[in-house]
Amino acid sequence: MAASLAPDPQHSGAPLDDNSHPNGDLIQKPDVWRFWLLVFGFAVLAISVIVPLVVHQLLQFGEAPRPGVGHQGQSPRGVIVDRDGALLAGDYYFYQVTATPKNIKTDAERMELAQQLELLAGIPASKSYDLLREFALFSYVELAPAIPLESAQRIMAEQARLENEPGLFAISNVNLFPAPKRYYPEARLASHIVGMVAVPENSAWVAGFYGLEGYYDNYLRQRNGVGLTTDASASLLDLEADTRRFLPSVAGKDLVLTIDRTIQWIAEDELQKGLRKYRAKAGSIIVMDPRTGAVLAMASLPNFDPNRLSERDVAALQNPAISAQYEPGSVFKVITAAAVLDAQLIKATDLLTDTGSIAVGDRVIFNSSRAAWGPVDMTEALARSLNVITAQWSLLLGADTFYKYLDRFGFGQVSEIDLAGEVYGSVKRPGSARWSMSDLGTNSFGQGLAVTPIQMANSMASLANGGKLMKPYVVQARVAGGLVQTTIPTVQNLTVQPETAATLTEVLVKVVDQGNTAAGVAGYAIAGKSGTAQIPTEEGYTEDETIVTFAGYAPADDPQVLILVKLDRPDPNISPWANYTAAPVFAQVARRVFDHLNIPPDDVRLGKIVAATE
Amino acid sequence: MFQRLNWKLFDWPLLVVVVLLCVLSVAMIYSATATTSDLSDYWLRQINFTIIGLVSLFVIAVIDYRQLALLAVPAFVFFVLSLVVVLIFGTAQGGSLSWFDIGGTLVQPTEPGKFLYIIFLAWYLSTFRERMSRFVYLLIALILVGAPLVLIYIQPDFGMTITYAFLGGALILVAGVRFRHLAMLALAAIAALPIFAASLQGYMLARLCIFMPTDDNGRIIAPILTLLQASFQRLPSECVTPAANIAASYNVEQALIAVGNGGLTGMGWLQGTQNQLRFLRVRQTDFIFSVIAEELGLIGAALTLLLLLFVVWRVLRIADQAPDQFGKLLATGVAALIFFQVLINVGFNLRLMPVTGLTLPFISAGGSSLVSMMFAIGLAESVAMRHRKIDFY
Repeated sequence: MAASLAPDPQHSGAPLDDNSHPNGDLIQKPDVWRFWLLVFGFAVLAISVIVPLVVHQLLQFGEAPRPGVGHQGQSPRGVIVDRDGALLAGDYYFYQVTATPKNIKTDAERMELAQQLELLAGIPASKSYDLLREFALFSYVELAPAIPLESAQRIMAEQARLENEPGLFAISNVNLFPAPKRYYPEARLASHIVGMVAVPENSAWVAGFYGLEGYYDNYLRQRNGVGLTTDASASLLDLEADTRRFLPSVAGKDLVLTIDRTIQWIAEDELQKGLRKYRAKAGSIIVMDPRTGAVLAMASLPNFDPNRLSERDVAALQNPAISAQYEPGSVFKVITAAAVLDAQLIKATDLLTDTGSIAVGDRVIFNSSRAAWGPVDMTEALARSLNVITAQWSLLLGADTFYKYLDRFGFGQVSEIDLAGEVYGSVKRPGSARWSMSDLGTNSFGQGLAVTPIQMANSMASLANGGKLMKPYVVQARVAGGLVQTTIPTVQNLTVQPETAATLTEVLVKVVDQGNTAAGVAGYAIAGKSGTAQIPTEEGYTEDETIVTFAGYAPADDPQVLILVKLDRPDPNISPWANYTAAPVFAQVARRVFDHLNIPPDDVRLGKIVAATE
Repeated sequence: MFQRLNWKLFDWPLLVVVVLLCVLSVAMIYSATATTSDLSDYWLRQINFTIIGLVSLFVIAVIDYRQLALLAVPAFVFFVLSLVVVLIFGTAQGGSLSWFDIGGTLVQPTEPGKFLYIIFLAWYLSTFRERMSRFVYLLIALILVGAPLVLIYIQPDFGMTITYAFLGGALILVAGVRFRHLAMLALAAIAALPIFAASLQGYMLARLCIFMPTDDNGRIIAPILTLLQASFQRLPSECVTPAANIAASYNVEQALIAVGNGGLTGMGWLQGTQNQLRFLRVRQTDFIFSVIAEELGLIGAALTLLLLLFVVWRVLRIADQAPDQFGKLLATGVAALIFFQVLINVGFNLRLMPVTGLTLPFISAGGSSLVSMMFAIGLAESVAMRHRKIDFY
């Protein structure tokens, strides 16, 4: 029986029958009180909810904003233009067609309306008719999500005409809501920078993803977004007339980029040609102004068409220039060289002896050619890209100083560029369990650590800029409400002394002259270095798949552009080496960029050649 | 051995009202989702859940609740362990580490845990009933009440934490604690407020700030903002940036407009503009009360509330007439659970308190919410069917 289920008799406090307990009455009495206290509490709380309900629904009835006032819909978004005002992203308008089905009483009327809409706006009559019937009791149904402006105007004209006619017309129950739709006139050009919009899960309205649309999503949307901070000082008229062509937009919150559409095109064009010529799988090119950190072009392939994503495009949404980390290989030797010079451990002219191998930690390091070159100076070590010498530099530096310099150059940290999706890269450090002494040796020539193209480009840019590491940026100005907030170039860090940067630039010019000759452009002194890295996999490095990089800046005496070219997996049957792949692509880009930016050849610019007409 | 069931003792009015609420639920879910293509079958699914719920209600009612006393301790240990394990191996969802991913389905231990919690507390408080007047036993009870609270709070799941706190409080009150002790506890709780405030997570602060009164530009009024800034080093943007505050309070704002639209008689079923034009978000779950208020007016909303309070009252009545202390506390726990969810849900629909995402019992769309509420009613009916008279036959 149930009684047998009573808890352990030694805890006699919970008998099935309260009255059987000797003190039952004593306990029972306050219990009843407590119980009714709870009931009373419930009642008070319930009343505290019911009273406001009555207040809202009766006393304040009609005081709340009427429906329709709050109608928001898709917020317009600001435009994105390049540094010269060329449109990269903007809104154009579509109309949403809805109806109030409950006001249309008969099937004949429904059919008439459906046919009218097909005639005026091409909305299939059978579909509208079915919807109007199915939702006959409702006050709202969507007949078409987006029709073009012209079709909407025809419907509005018909409604206006019938307004003056006697009688009731079904079409009066049709409502049109203008809805902005994002459009990217340049399609794939600069798609990784611009980003895209999409409707996220659980939302009715689009939001920005990737690139600037993602990074500045809250800023670009007109409603429910953020504005400028208070230090917007310039006015719209301070911008060039050309730049203002599309400003301010309907949304009134716009972005002017540092990107130059022409240079972006040059970069994408040459990257495309390079990928085809060397049968590489993917690649990135970054062009920036080392003096400010402004990015002039940032191209990666494969890219995507933000207007209409194909299935292949979906895989290419991430911007590899800021989100693909890789082992840079020998181009990284420039950083080690800068560190060893700046720490004044050697001079560029000092000779170190290359014996063909060197042990660092528990690993023996060889040159990629497996040869020994004897005594060499810094120029020859970099021109021949000798791993053994670079490892010696790293030993001179010691782990603490070496990694201190890596920090200064921004490796293992985000560059804080204003684009969505930047990653940190990865640098193992002394003290962590994964680091061992041999990492110091391999890191010195760019293996065993991961960097992003923007980190590599920006760190090289600091050498072009006298040791000042700038914060890279792609937005030149934010324009809102007639005010303009211009990005002020910011020094993030000092990497090396100006003298070190100057010395190393001289060395790197010789590296291009003597080693990476394919990167040269006749008439210009270019400082640069190539890097070929095997691709690390779970099983070790792959045999002949490589990632090739060339980074360089010019003119050497007054650097105005820095260009980084990176190609993934060029066909080894053509060449797996950066010197024969990335370097010639660099030369092509550099030549066209010098032309576009009107940078004359060094002799002309420095007045060594007097123009023939004079 | 099975005891002969006395179906006359089954609380039929309670069941009728629960079924009425379920019918209302299906109608309002239909209104809230029928025109949204990917939600348009929700009302059909709700009918299925109602049937499953009713079946489980009867199954639970038939089982003798006193057998649950045997389960109390192991179930509670299991529950507390699962709360610890979820913090280590759980899956985060919406910022809270409160879910287990079991073959792709997310399971939240705190949802069934409410019952384990009620059963355990009812067992503990009834077993050590007369010793509760001793402070040590009260202290143990408090630790048992408090341990799950802390674990849920650090997930962080604020809605569940206050639900559990309310359940624990209601049961301790009814179980018989000296008022002197109760007063000491209240003082201790007030003393602990600064610790509690300091541990408020970012999202809780954000919810709080959305709830705070603002001026026309969306800036929180000066004295409160100053107080917040003095109390917390880092405030979320909802507290300091007017635009963020306005954006975040959109849902609550729309819900309030919907309630205001209703008036005395409402705009009519399927005719509520806030609902049909989709200004109301999560209208089929968190904000379904606003849909009722808009389309059925004060009459409909008040009637809904009264039906829900009727359910609470019937369960309390069952508690009052329970054959033993365990049954009484069990039914009290069930009543407190239902009452509290109604209170909080209607409260945030009317902007009387911050949004916590607790569902409206029997009405909000969703299987787990409805079935667990039916389970709760089943427990109460189980107590009702073993009314003390039959223990003496």
